[in-house]
Amino acid sequence: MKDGLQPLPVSDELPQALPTGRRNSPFDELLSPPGFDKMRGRLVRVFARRGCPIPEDLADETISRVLNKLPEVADHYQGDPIRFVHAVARNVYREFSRRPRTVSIEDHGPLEAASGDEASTREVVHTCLEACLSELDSGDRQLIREYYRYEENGKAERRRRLAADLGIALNLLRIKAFRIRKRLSLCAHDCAKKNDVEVK
Amino acid sequence: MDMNLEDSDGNGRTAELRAFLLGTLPEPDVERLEYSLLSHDGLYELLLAMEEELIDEYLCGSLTQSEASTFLAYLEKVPGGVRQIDFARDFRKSLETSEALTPTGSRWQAAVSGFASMWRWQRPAFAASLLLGVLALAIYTSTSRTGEDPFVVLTAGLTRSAGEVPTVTLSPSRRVVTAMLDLGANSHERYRATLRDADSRPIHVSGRLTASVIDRGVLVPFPLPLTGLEPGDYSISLDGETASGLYEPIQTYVLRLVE
Repeated sequence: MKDGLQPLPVSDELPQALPTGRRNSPFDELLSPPGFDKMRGRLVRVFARRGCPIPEDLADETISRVLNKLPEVADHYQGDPIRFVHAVARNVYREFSRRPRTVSIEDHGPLEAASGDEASTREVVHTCLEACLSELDSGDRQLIREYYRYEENGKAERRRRLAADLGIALNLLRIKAFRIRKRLSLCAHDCAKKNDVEVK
Repeated sequence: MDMNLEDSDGNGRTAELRAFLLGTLPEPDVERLEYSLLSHDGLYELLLAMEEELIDEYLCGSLTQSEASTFLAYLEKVPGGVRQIDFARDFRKSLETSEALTPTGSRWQAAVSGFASMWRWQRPAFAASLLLGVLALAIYTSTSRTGEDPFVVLTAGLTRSAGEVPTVTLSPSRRVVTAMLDLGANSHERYRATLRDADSRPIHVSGRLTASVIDRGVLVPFPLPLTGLEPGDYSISLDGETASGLYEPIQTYVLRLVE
């Protein structure tokens, strides 16, 4: 077993929806699409950050437990429902971390670059990425070029200057650059798929 | 829910997120930050941005061994995490070599100016993959296919006037086509292909290409970015890399882009 830990007990399937009379509106918003996907994605990262080898399973377990608890708490729960979800997640984590390990966890080595067999695939992706970069409007292209310019020194200062030039806060610039990069990633992935390249 | 993502120097939040991702944040702070990440959209997005920045630092070798180990262990567990690393490698290479680095000037001027830097960076060797070989065989066994296919087989020696020029249809949704250059015989270990417009000006170049040897021939896959290209006639010159690292011309192929 890859993770070296005992498997989780099979949890109940997530209920599709609770009966209307048993639902609490703040939880409703949290646990219905698109709030559900957002919450699940964040929980996955929380568990991954804690070193859980099966973060998606634990996120599902957390949401499943919250949904199952709702009939009991819905009528009298006061406060932020996210606190409730977080508390359940912490319990799920504690239970998980107490489980016995049966196989030692292997050390992580550095992730390898693409092998020879993958190299042509990467070349197509790279070409797609060049095409996607050229499709950006000039402002975004200039921004991402400046933001991600690779150099050993002076990166922080350059980004600070860039944020000042644009008249925005540094963290807003970070998020802006991240969004452009994400768009490029989706564009390149889509392009590579159209070229029959299976991108992992 | 409102939360200020900035502090006095704009870095406090990111320093905390960085410590969170690298496993150095004290446990009480971890719990507090977890709750903030669950409840605050902007902070969560900043975490995703920090992931990308740490990936870049990892690829640059800026993370310590311990930091890299912790961060990679995290990324391996996050859905799509390994793909983020692959993308970051491509992204970095593209920013280094792409004509997008040239903010002004025409596409071919950018290509010319970027030509020298491309070779300076010496892109990694690209062995022809089995996948491409199999795909190439599938295409090669049929006739020269064009239109919306992701590949087009080009044979040397065709002339524009002969009316047999392979065509590729341009469309907004189609960004790349891979030209499979029919080589005849595998004469070199590596090849360089250059796309040129009707006036023989270079538009796009790929070096260190390798040939795929299949039952019925030898093909060199050459991915071409279509974005920004106008309909018209183009040529591709294929050069072979000699043992001394110089290039010698081998073949020229013609290609027509149509709308």
